[in-house]
Amino acid sequence: MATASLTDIACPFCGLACDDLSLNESSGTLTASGGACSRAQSVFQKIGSVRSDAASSWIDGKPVTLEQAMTKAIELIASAQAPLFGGLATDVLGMRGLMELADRTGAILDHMNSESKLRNLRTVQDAGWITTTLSEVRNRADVIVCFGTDVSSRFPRFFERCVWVEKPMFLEDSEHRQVILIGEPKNLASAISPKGQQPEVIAIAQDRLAEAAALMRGLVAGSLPNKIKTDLPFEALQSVAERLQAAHYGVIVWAAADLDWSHAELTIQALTAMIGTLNNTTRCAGMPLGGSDGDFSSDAVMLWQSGYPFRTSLASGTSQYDPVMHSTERIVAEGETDCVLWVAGLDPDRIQVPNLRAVTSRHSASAKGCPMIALTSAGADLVSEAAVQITVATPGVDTHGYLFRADKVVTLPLRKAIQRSYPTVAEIAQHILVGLGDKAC
Amino acid sequence: MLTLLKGGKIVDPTRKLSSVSGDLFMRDGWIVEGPNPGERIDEEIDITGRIVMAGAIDMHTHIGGGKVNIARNMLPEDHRFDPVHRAGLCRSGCGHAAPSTLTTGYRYAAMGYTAGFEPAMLPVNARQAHLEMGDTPIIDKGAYVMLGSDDFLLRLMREGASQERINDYVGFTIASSQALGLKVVNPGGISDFKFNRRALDLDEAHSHYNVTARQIVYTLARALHELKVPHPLHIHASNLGVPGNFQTTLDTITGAEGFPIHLTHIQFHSYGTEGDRKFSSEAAKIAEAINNNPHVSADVGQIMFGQTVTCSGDSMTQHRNAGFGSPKKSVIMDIECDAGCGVVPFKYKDKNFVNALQWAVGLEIFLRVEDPWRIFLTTDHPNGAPFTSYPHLIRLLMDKTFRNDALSRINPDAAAMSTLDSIDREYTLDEIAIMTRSAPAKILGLKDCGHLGPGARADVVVYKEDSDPEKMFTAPEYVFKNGTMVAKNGDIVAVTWGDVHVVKPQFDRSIEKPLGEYFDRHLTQKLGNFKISDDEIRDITNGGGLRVHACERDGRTV
Repeated sequence: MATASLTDIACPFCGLACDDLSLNESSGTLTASGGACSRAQSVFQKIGSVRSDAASSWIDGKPVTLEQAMTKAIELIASAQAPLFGGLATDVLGMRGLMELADRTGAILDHMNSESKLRNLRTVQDAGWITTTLSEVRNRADVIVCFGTDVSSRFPRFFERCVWVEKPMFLEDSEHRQVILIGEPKNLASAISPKGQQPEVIAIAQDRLAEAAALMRGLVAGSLPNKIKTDLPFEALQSVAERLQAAHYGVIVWAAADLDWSHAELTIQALTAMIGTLNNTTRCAGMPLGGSDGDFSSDAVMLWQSGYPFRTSLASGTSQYDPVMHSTERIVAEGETDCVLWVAGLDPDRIQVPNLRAVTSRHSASAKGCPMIALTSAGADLVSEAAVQITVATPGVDTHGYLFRADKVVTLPLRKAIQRSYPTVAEIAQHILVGLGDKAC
Repeated sequence: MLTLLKGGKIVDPTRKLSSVSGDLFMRDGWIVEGPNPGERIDEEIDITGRIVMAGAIDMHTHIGGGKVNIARNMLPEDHRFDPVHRAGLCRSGCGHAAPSTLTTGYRYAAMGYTAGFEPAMLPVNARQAHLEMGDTPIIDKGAYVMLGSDDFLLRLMREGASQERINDYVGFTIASSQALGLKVVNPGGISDFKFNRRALDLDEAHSHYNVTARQIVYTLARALHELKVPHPLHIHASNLGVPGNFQTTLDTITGAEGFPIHLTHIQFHSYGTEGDRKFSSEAAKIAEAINNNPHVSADVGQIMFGQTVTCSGDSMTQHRNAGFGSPKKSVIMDIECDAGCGVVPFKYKDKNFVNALQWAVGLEIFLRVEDPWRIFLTTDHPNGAPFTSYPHLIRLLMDKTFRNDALSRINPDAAAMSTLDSIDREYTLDEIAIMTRSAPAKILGLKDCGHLGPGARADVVVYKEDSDPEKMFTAPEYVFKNGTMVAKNGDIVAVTWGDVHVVKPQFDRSIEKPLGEYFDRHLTQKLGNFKISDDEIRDITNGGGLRVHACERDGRTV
């Protein structure tokens, strides 16, 4: 089972996709070192610690052979009138397989992170934006504003890799960077510079951040009335606006997942409009961080194969995009699916299945309600709602693959680190396709 | 498997065959002389009187990489009126300006195209470009990788590195990104935009590196020559779209100092400043320069009226023009100390003076460049128009009456400033075959494509001759890819997966030492993960192969 220790391994468990990890497997323990953050260490260990002879397929929670599970999965998909392919936490190769199956079966496709991703998407589809990538931040950014996020709770090594670097290409040194966090940051440790410089925190409650963004936009545009009344820290925000105007290359960082309130796209739009104005005189760019749970990877494949992002239905025989109608939450709540294929093939702690118990599908004859086929990584808990659960090869551990990083520009190769016989998501999709034969779906 | 196409009229300019009646044999994906002694002909297709050409090659089409996906993401409205249903062998998808990859492959093939080349692959985005092209069925693919605003090159040039060292870096970049050629876009300008520069002329120094666009053009054109990469430097020149930029274009030609160069979407670089609106056509001067410089070739980047989206690596220019976008939205990106990009939707209108003149400028260049081996039929898909407009464009070139009718409908002030109506030239079928087959294969160094001689890939198109070339070129009767019939009268009858065309220039691998250190110090991925291996290409092409073309070049022309 042991393979040689691998270096320069890319980690698929958050959008940063750090690729300076080492992986070592011995006596059934997979150890991530090198650049691995503590979360990466624990996820690699969890996935790697599952013995290859342990149960890996289940029907109604009872261990079965892979063949039995596949037969059941094919049966469920074949009899489905309105399948929903959800979760979609997988890499490029997994999504390629799922797209072909979705096209054949007329499925609706939605990702577990769509709700937060949509906040950015609505901004792009409405007005566009100006953005940058990780290495540009690392080498150029002299003023970094983290808006509504402490960044490191979701992207542990962001500051280490993109801010506190030894020698940025275009700056004297990193210590001179200004790091400003706006909101209610929880985790400040990694935002402190190596020499101990504390980040500036402008404390604003989450439910006031929309207002703060609008205020900053107005300050930069010079469009505010002379006397403005607000109980927000006006002078601090004014100072941020001024520093962005004076910066050579300001960067506004946000993580859409942290901007978790109704119509947060309007807040993002205020930020991107502000960035647009700043670029009339100097340079500034947004850094909308995402890419975790493979969301940028499976979305990218959807985009190039169907022409549309997540929340696209192939039920009519062509792609129909509707970000409201085709949400997993709504479809499940309304009972508009009779079979869910749930893919959670990366981080075993991020299964995120929708609650199917609450509803009985209008289409399903089964008294148990809407059946679910769950494809999960090794180490995942049993999904009690799943009629069928199959352990899939995790790209970057059990199989090779390709993952889009947080800036949607760099795609990292994921390597196979250990030898186990789990099928890949693409293989399962292909197997179901073959199993469906000529059957009309 | 031996197939005989019997009695066609062969148009093969590579072999100087102009509608010559003859038989064509295909065995196992290749064109062959004829049956071996005693060999049985497995299949015979009677094509008596039909025109036969090699598969067409689009040498400049944005079919892969982040820019197109950004366009798809930003513009769901682009696809809404062009849905493509799952049918027969074909998967669902969508069309128009930023079509799905699947639809792109089907539509190219149905139109008689068997290869398309992505002209602006960023090194750091190369893997995505190959993944997208890998999901583009039937046609062969390849890409030109972009340098010229990347910090590593600019640092080398600032330090006064030797040409040999730069050649090593260029060779490394082509090889490690699995490219067929090299492109430069607004040389130095994309980088200088990150330093807040808004325009960079050919002889202006980059504000940080103190090198000029002229130096970058010369250095890269020379590097390709010395590496013997067949395709000359593919240049998106400085000052795209700026009135008066024809002078920059002429200066770029002299700046290459005789090294072969290819000027891309030259229509956008042929503008003067005459007239009330200070915007005029200098197509005649540009065409004259191409005519007088045999080491220079160009593709046109014709615009067509209608909605499209512009996807460019030129972030500086796209940011400047974002306000002209329609609908009014745009994505501009600075990318990885490597490059940039800008995606701006455009609606070209025939009643708009500037757009109408752009249309006329493109056609004037087509008609005034005398040598069809050095001017290529492109719309810079989708920047000037979607590739599906090619049959219409071919008719504009082949039919003067049709062209002048179209001219009479555009903005009259623009028509009055154009000399288009005074040009009598009509392209012949042979000339169309040259500019869409023989010449692209020649300029890209694809010895086994673009012709129908023995040893060529059996990429063959059979047309019913028609007095309306638009009709003829929209849906050929048969299209064969590697000997397999893939399309018939515009319908896809088999789905195959094309190859990836690359070159592998020789270079000194010791360049990887400073590059590895540079990656570790300044970038956010490892050099080893940046490189794309041959196995990776085979892994992601759905069964298509990797075709490596020889690096060999004739002497310097001037």
